[in-house]
Amino acid sequence: MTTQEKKAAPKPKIGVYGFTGCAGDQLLIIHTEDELLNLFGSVDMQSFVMASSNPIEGELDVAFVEGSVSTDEEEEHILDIRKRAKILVAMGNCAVGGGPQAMYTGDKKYKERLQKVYGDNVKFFIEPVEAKPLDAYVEVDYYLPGCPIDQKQAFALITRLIHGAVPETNPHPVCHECKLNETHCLLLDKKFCLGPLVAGGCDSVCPSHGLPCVGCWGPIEDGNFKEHFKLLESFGMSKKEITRRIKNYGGHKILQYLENL
Amino acid sequence: MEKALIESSRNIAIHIAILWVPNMRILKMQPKFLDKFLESLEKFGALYGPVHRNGVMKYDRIESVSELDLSGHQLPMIPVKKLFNPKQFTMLHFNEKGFYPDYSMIEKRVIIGVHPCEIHGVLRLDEIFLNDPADPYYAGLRDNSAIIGFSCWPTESSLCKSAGTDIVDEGFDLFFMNLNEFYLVWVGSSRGYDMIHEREEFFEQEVSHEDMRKYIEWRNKRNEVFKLEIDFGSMPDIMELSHNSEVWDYFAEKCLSCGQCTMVCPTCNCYNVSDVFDVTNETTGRRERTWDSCMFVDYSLVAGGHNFRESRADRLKLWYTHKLKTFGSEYGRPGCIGCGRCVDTCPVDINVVTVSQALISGEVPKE
Amino acid sequence: MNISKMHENPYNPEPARIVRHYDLIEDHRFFQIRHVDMNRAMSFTYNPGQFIMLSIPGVGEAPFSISSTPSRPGILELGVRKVGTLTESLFQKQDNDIIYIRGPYGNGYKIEQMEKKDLIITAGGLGVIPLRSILYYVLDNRDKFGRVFFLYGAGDSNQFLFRDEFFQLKARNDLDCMYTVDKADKTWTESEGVVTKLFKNLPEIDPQNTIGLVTGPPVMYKFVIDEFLKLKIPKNMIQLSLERRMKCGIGKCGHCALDHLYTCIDGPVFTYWDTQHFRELI
Repeated sequence: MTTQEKKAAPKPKIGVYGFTGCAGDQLLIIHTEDELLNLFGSVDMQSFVMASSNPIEGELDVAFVEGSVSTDEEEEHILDIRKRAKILVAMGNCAVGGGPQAMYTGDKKYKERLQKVYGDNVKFFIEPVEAKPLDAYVEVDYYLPGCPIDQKQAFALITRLIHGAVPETNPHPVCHECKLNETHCLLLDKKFCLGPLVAGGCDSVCPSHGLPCVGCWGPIEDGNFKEHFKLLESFGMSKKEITRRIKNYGGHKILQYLENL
Repeated sequence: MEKALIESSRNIAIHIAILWVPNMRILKMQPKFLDKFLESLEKFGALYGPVHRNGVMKYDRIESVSELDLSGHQLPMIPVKKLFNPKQFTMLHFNEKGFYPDYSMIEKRVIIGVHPCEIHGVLRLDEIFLNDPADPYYAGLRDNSAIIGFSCWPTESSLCKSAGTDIVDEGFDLFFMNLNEFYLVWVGSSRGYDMIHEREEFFEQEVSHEDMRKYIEWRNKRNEVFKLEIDFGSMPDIMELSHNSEVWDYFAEKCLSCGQCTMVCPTCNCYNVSDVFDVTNETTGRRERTWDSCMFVDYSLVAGGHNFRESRADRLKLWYTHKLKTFGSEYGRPGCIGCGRCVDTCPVDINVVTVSQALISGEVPKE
Repeated sequence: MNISKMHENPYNPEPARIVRHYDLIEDHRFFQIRHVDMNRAMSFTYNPGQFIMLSIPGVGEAPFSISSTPSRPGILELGVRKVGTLTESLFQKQDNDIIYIRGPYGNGYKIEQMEKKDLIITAGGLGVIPLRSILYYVLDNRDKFGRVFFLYGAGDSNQFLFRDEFFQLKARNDLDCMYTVDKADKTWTESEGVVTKLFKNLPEIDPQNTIGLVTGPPVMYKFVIDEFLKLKIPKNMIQLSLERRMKCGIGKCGHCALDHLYTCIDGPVFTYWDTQHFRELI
């Protein structure tokens, strides 16, 4: 392909969608003021309701979907988006793992909880279902974890996708960025932190402010769960409490790691 | 007793004289001149040194010499290597015409307050980064940085005496030996000489035997403070014989693979490289480099999915091979410079001391 | 560091053009590339067994074995399997497109040691790519070497690389080619079974006068080396080419470390003796 032909090549068609969640990930893209105009200039933004009205719902090169699937309607919608999109990106903790609304996943008490919150005989406009990540319904091509997603990581992935390259994944724990930021390790003070079990990409924002990592980027495959639980227990925390806290953002993705502890 | 001490100090002084005078001059400075002198170094480059920021000691650019912590009682969390092999930087830019290097991070610097072990660490990294073909970023930063070494006092974790890195006779421009009443100042390079030359009025040319005796006393006193030791001399052989030891499995089970040991180690050099496109254009962007760690699972992973060090035991083995057995061109010369950072940093107590003790005894530490 | 030295940035890759490409088998593509600068293209030389770092701007950089021989200068040949981010993008490239390369790196095969000796060149799967370089080098300098045995095994006939090329070699009388696939189909006319099975077809060899070369998937080395050892070939006369993750190619980034060695500057070709001494090699 010559350069001229390349220039004439159509811009990739993009759609950005929000399901059940706080819309913080879409907001982050909009708030990336340095790059927002560049992004809108480089792509053919078909649908991004938070940023512009009159969406066009057709074939897409890349769909970015935020939020968990929590209603019948959303289930239909994600199936539809998947059919239309060549590449589907789960954007943010809710889309990737189910989000905080999926923290009780696996307890089999969804109906009870729904009743407890909303009472008996409630008529819903849209039928709610237990919150699940996108990949519980459709195949997801790439994951952009975080709560909210990180600008740098998000745009590294977005630019690769709009320029036709495969994105890179980050299998390193939060501790990597923690040390790059010269942040004191909370574990050395015998304080709770999930850093070694959790994927980096957040630029260690919580530990850098003296707060523990609560796991919003989701678990890393290589995490040494058994030993880290043992370490946190030696600080005086109960296994139950550690499990509760790791499930906060762990959603569906954390369960497999907690099985054999 | 007193006489014997003077006698022995004289011998050592002569020994030092023989050892150092050909390449090096030793001067004396009164503490009251220190700040003024250090401030004067600004004309040789931007001043850097150990400071406290948000409760963490780090090497950083300083506005004023008063920010510096030159007490020598603590090491910055991240070693001085970060000033030569930056943690994260842009190596190259690219556009439709090709790649071009970015040397914007190279600046003239004067790094004040570098401990002897740290200087040894830099000398070890030189063997990697300056080995032909030299890494131009490291070489550029190295050439443009003056190192003003400062003496220090052992911490609970210091192993520099065992590693033979408690003193240093090269790799600095100036070295300040803090003997409380006064400083002895070693001049280690012509740049160091230029620095002194600018401010000759601060320095006394004559160092008396009494001064040297105080120095020997200080060293003897310091030698008694060390709490930890490692028999580094026998570690290469022990490592060789322990390749299949169960000790590795014990540590592998514990290791969190957080990578902190590698980030804080003065002789860890590994980095990863990745490309970032500009948003607007697929032909422009940059190639970035970031510190990496052999503790991470993808460190030895090749395209296609084969991982040469999938197990934590294999990852730990590589690190300890480099730290305790052999690192760089010379077989049998380990990379550990005894700073003790891994001892202070590992949340689950895997460090050069626990590992070498376990390998020597064949027994794992008691929980 | 002075400015002139900084311009010689060893990480700065040079543009090269894809001259020709075709698919070897599914997801395996052959590329002929040439430096854009013609003087550079013609003066560029390397040793068989060396590798280059290949870049696609924005996507990344990775090591690739050179599959051509320096005895046929001007063109570099690569055999690439589509397995990752970079190769995914490389496969989108067309003839005449520009990619970027630097190198050559590594030590290559120990040719001096091989001269006048009989050679058993043993390849498994994709391992044939670096070995093709030394094979053609040997054929182009045929009088310098003794008997040559070329043993190549692949999974099945659809995974057999350079099939036409290598079957043409069978017509030569100065080279003994033995091919096998683990699982034969109707189109396959050669041996069936793993590559080590071919060793029984070798004539009598003089182990002191024979060099064994092997490259293949990680699991293969042990079995082929056992065959070489059964033939009593000395350990330091068995040469292996190894694959490792690399980010620099010049001994700085650390990823390819093996003991205190680096695959990129101390390898990628090692003798089996080295691999025993430095235990991590295979």
